[in-house]
Amino acid sequence: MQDLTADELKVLISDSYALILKLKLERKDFPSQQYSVSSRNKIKNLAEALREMDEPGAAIPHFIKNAAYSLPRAERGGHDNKFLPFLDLLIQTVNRISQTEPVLERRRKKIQYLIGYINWGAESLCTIFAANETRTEAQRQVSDMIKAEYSVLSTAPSNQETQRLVDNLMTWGDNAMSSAGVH
Amino acid sequence: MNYEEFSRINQFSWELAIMTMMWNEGKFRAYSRAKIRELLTLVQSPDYQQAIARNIDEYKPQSPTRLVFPTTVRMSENEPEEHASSVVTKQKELHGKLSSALIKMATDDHSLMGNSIVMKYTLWDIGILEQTFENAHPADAHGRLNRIEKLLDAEAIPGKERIISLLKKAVDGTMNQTNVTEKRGEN
Repeated sequence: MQDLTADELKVLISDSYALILKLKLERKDFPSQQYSVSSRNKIKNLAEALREMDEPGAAIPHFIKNAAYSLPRAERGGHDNKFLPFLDLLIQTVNRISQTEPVLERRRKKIQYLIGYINWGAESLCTIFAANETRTEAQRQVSDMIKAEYSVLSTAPSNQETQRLVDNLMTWGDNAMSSAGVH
Repeated sequence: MNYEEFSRINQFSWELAIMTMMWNEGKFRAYSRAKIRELLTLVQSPDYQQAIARNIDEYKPQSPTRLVFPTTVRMSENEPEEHASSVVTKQKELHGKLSSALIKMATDDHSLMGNSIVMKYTLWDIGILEQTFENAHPADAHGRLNRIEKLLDAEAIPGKERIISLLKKAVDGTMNQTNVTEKRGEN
């Protein structure tokens, strides 16, 4: 199987940030400031669902059905709508990958990378938001991270595009919901 | 499992899931998760035909204990009982239909029913449908259908059109019953 190209990776990185922005972010202020994605294990488990079937033609449908069932499901039964915007965009992204990538094994590889990037990106952002005392410092680190990720690619996005992504990610951090029961 | 076998199970599971959906207390949901699970377990047994026949005989759905109607609706005295009776009738009807479908499919290909993924996917698909149509009003029902269509595209189901057609019929049934309730409210 041919390795993914730099351009393909760039698209997956951009897709992963678009999906991260659809996740709910929570903030704890006590005893120390911490950030985490709401029900983060559900996102981590997506990668596992993609590995459950050997045949790539079955693995992707199984993965997306698992996501459609488990993401909007509340942990104690009933429904949990907070993942619906993420799920809608995930389905849309998987459909686009399926339409543009004819090789099944590469299709699965792209989705694996996408889920991996979502997990890594969300975790990195949570760490940056928690570790920096001021918004300006956090913004500088987020900006450095995005630029570093794109710098290895052949066609890096424009400064304006990068800045827009940094702004959106900072707003995502600003809008983190204070977790219940931590005060 | 190869792709062809997987696709057949996936199609079959969606069709079973849709078959179980009904209007009850303002929600589009499966008639009884517990009874569906029982049938999906029984059909895997060697004497599944007799076991399912017994299960149908023994199925006595409980009348809804609390009826949910819009507060503006004025009901005659016997309407709650009529509604409860129609819900029970529908539950029994769906249980019978699901039983027949499972027996037919098991007779045609018992190896298919022996596959535990059928049960898992049918229950998942029911969960997906209930979530998708949660609080759905007839006016936005077709928007919800679009979400299922996109999901089926992502699942690469060859028989997508058939699934959507079956689902539309099930949702239209919901819409008709909703309209009846709304007309009552106008009187």
